Amino acid sequence: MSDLQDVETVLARVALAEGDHRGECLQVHFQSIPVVEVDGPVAHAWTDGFTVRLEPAGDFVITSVVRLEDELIRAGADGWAFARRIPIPLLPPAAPQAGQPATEGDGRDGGDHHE
Amino acid sequence: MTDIGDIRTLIARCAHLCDRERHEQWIDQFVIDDFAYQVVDDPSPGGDGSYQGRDEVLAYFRAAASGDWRATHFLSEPVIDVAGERAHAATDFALVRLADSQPAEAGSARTTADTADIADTADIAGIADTAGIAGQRYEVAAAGRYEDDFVRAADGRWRFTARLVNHLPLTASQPARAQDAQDLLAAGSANE
Repeated sequence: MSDLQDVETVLARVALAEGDHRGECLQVHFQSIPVVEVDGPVAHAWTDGFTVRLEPAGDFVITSVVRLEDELIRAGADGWAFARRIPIPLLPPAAPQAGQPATEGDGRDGGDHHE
Repeated sequence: MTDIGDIRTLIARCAHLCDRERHEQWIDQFVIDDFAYQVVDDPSPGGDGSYQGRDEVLAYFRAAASGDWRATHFLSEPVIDVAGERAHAATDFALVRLADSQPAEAGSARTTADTADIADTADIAGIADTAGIAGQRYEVAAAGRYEDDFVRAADGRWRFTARLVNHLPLTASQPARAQDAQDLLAAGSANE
């Protein structure tokens, strides 16, 4: 397999494992197709994800939306290993402090509703 | 990579860049000059339209830029057909966003730096750590299918030539399409 495919497989395995380790797994995590850039022994991957949970009433609700920014390093013949993961949750803009605009310094870049 | 792998990555990169409002990068690097973009049955008022050429498409995206992350497009695995120097892909999408846009209570929003600490100390999955923070509600605001056309450029890289965004209509159901879907399901069952 190519490096890109190897990295994608690592990301997918981690996503599956996140659901597997729960005693009663009432939620599923979906991840987008990752954007992967491999630069020699280092790979960066950007993946968006959301989690669907089954509520006691029988409804499915989306409980989180998150951007995952990953850095992986080549781990010999065994493939790739995580060096860093930065999860960035989608949250409402922080309430503005007195005298500050609402969007200042929230650390998140943009997104819109256009397809 | 294979042609299909290249095109799959191109589709994913398009969603990635557009969700982050980096439309210029997408338009500059990944579409042809005469790129055509059409939106059908968009649930947002005035969302439908046809746009031709880089400048017109870019203006369309810029008009709706918010400067804030409000929603994310999730894509299915695309179905890609390659024919020589041309290719077509069909990809389903769902647009997931916050159900309401009221500002969070002060201190409830984690920053990148906060979550970096989590990644260093907790399990690498980093998914449960962000689930249900401050009880946010999310919703699927739109869904549909991208019909994309590509061409292999002189430098060997694939680029978009056209995108048709076909939304699931929010209004009355459309019998013709519903019948199409039922026909497909019936055909699929017959082939199993």
